Amino acid sequence: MRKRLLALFSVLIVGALVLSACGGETVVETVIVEKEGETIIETVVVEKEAEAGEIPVTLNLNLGTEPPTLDPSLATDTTSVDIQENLFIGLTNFNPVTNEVEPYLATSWDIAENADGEQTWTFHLRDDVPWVKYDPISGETTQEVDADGNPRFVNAYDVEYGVKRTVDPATGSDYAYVTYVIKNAAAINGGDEELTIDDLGVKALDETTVEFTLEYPAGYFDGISTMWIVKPMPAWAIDEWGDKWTEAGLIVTSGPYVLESWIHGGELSLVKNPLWIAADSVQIERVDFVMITEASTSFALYENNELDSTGVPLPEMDRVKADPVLSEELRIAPVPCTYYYGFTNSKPPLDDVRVRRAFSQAIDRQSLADNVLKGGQIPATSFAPPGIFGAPEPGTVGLGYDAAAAKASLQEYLDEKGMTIDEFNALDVVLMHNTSEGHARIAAAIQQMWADVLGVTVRVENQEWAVYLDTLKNTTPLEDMPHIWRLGWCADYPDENNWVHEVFNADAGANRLRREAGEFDALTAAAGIEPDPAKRAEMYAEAERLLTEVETAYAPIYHYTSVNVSKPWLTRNFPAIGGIDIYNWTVDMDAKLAAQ
Amino acid sequence: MARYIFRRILQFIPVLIAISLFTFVLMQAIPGGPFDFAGDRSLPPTIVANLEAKYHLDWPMWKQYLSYMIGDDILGEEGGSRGVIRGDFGPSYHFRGQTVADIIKITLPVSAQLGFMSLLLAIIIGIPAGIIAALNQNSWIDYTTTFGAVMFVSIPNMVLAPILIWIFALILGWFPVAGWGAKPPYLLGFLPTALNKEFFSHAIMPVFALGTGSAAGIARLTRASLLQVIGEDYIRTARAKGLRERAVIVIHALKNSLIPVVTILGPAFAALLTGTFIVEQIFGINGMGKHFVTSVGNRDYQVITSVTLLYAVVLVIANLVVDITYAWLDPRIRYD
Amino acid sequence: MAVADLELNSSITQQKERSLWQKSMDRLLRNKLAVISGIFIILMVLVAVFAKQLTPYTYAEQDLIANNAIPKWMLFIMPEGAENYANFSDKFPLAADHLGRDLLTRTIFGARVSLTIAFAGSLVSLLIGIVYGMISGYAGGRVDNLMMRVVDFLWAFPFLIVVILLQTYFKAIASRSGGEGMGGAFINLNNQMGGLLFLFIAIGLINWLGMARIARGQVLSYKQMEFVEAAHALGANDTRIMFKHLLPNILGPLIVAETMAIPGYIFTEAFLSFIGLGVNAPTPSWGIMIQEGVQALRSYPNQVLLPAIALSLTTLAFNFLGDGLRDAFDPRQIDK
Repeated sequence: MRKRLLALFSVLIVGALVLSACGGETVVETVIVEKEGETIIETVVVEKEAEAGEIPVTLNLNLGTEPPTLDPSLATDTTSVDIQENLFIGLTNFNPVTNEVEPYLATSWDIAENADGEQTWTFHLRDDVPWVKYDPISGETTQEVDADGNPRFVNAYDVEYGVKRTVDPATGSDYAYVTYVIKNAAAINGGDEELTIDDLGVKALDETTVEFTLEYPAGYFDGISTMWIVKPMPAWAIDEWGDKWTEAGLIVTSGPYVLESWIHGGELSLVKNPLWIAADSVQIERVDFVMITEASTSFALYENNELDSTGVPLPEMDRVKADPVLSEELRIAPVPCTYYYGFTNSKPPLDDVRVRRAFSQAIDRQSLADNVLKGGQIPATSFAPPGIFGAPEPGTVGLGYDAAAAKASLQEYLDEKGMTIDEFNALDVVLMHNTSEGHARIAAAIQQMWADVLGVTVRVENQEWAVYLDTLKNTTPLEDMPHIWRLGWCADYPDENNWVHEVFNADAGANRLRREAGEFDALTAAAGIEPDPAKRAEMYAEAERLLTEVETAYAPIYHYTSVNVSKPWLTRNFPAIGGIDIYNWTVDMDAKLAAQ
Repeated sequence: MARYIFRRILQFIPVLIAISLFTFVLMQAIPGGPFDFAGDRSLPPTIVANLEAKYHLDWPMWKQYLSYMIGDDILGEEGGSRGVIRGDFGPSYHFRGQTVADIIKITLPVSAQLGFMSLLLAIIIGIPAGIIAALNQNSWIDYTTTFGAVMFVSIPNMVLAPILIWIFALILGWFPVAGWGAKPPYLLGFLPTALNKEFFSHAIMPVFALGTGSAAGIARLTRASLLQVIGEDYIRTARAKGLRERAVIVIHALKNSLIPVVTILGPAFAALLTGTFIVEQIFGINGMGKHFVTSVGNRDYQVITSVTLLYAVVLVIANLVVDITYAWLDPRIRYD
Repeated sequence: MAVADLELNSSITQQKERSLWQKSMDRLLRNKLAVISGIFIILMVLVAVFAKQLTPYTYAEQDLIANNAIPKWMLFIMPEGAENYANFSDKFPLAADHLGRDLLTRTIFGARVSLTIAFAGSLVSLLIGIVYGMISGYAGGRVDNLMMRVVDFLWAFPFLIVVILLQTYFKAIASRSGGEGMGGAFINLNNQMGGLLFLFIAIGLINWLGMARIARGQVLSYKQMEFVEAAHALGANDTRIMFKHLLPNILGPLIVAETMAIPGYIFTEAFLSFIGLGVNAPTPSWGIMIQEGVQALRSYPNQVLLPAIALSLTTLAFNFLGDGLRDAFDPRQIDK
């Protein structure tokens, strides 16, 4: 038996040694293999000789998570969209600084009214953007050709196809609802059997002209035209590969970069597209992304020169600000997102505006930003952040911190109801947030502010995200609904319509606030179709004022910032709309190599 | 022997059905579906309806379960599912375009490599440490080893892992901060293709963080078991016969004392495999444990059920292997 | 045989029983490490019970201005350059966390959660395990066979995965209003306990399996002994025999096994906290404090140190006590 034991352990140990003996440099590639008449995608090991010559200009970044999809019709999250913005050209694009809509694939566009009195947007496209495909084995990027052998360029029919694909209910696009402004989109996407996909208000008039017919005049449609869901898409590739068309080696793209490899959940690499219309101005030749969820690990990678730029975890902020090197590398940039606490306007005691006002005015937003958030966040008193069309300047509209006013407002309510503060506390007001370290900090801090200023005790609860959103639905019974709840909102396109109207309008939005529709709701609906921009801006400012100062239906807390550190050899920007436009960045490769 | 294994596998089938049913029903009972939200916002009802129809979440639950287990064609329904019984674990709801099988093929080998190496480390450190401690019972060697062992069992790996990164990656710069050195495809589907410096330098810290707890546990078990055997009659007989102390230990005591150690290797491996989550999370390793936890949050039903099933299979196979090894080591035990 | 003789016989076994316990206790008390560990655990229990009297702060009380504050003397454990960013304050004896809450106070209150988990988890698993195992062993035959099949069956469930799924479910339903009936009462009780109740259930429900096996094995070996037969002859009913006569005899190994399992419960709580499935904020537990502290490890290592030391020392104590108890209750251990 001793022999048997010995045998067992020697097998284990020898096994480990044998495994460690075989070495060799190999490279992993994705290729397409024909097997038994069936074409499948496989990842294989390719022996590759080290390429002679210079090291390409490389950028190392952390994506945080696996992008759920690289299919523009299906993307919903910033990770996926960030990659897509570098892979696919869009109809139009935002200026990274001014946030204005600029020509991209479309060189110009006209707005007109057609015979039926409907608004039409006609985009005139350039004809020289090639559809390309990267071959992982040869490492070459080649232009796609059609059945007749003609090179393929991005054209108006690809745009029409892309939009129709997004709206088609069979595609299952999460973001299809953003296109509902296009004529018949809502009905088709909702499964209306009277209509076919060809009734959709989008039509390629010729190779370089595409026309959109809208349900109603929408001054913000240029904003929507920048979005990923209306990008031109390669019909032939999608037809051929189905769900798998976004894999490395199969994906056909049109942007400044091409997908070199994508190991799901682990790594993703982009290389420069040499056929890109502005290839000369793209300096970074390859981008290697890792997918590390843990913020502190990502930051450690940065400190070890393994990443060129990363976010700063909140607990490290004090050290980063004090560190002579890191503080120089720190950049705080505004992000068009707002953090807010919603009130359940129909649930006592929050059904009284004086109580809501007391809760909102008792939040010391500046102290929260300085002592808890520490990332230069802008205290918010209204909803849409600066840079959004129609957004008021922060602090000009709405209620800020005012302890005395808050106390007085609550006292007035208590006096009228003949309640003591203890009786008020017996009502057990609940503040709920989705489970997250950051939200828990903010909730704990604000809970304490309410206790200090108002003498109110609020119970904080948290729920996991999926459960939480289910709870906040306006079909949830009122007794299961928390009195106060946390949410955030980020811009899809920089227009107030995307903010106060889509989020808070009792008829148009989800109405989580459980308000009765009133003056505010009529105003935001009217502003959406108002043609005069100056008039629109005024209407939105008034709507923001109504919702915060008059109704105090929710409490805006702060506007987000992105807190990043970047190595000195990286020159990057922070587009006003968010995201990463790597084709505008540069890396000083000599300095980077010297540091390593 | 073959009959025994065959019977064990047969017994296992109802267990698998029960586990899949339990997971499937429990997941669906938790509020919030996979398509109620997209990233950080909730979706309008028409969109949710489109998506649920696309993935057949509008079917009654029994039908969804059968579709998942045996496939749509057997049910007489339209739909592409071929069922778990034919190796089709369905699509991922969150990672559109990937199937559950795709995800498992990439993440399981990484977790298996991590778990296996940690077990190996645990054995290589644990057994000798336990023997040394037992042979020097109540001496300072024993106390130091035992104390060290218990210390390591008592440090949670969520504390150990960041400390390792700090010291060995950032201060000393010996190892990379994060990541895993082996990439798909894998030899035989789970072995790294190249065991080079790249692989080991990435593996060392996570394996250490994961394996030390088990190493300490094995050391304690070896010590206790060896001490117990030394106290038994036949050892005393051997000693009385005048055999040299070393011979007594090696020939008689050691072999018997390792039997209980072997029996815990199965559960230990299963625990290491399922316990990889924290280590994978902190070291940014693309393994199955990390993937499982995020899938629960994403309500990726088919990923959750399939991964749970897979863990159960690993657990049972590990136990079966141990039972066979056990019987092989100790001829007194017979399969019945 | 005269009745008196039987009585005598029975009382002799009882006496022998008492002396067995006595002997075990004597052996235990001679094990210094175990005694120190026992005293430490008792101290921790006292700390947890009198938490409110021990500290002037409450665990939720914040001083935002003093966020991350540390007393000056602590600088020696801080990383290089800490004097440039540290927020010095003598208000908190062992520093404050990111919201300016006293860390010592939170650690003391955290002991409540961790120790409650330890004891309540043991209690739940012991109760279910003993009753189940004793019935199984005592009844024997088909009943025994069936009951053990169920245990084998559940044994194949991957423990950690099931706990994650159960706890996700429990947490999801916990924040819904309880409503009427028993479910509602449970949910309300859980809310009052800061989410602890469901954690006990999740942990206890899984761990009773091992206890049931041990209890059954013990019952089987004692069932045929004279004192049991004597009790039978005297006409004692089965329940009385099981709980009056058998239970005291089999309790030893069960307590040993449970003590050894306690560190596992404490770790499970820490693990669940790490993935966001722990107790509700602001209730502190060592797991949550470690999870928060680890994020700040590079800047404020002191924040993870306190809860990590508390957790490590407590599991250390339970491990040593478990070792001591095992040695003490081992009948083969002869007084040396």
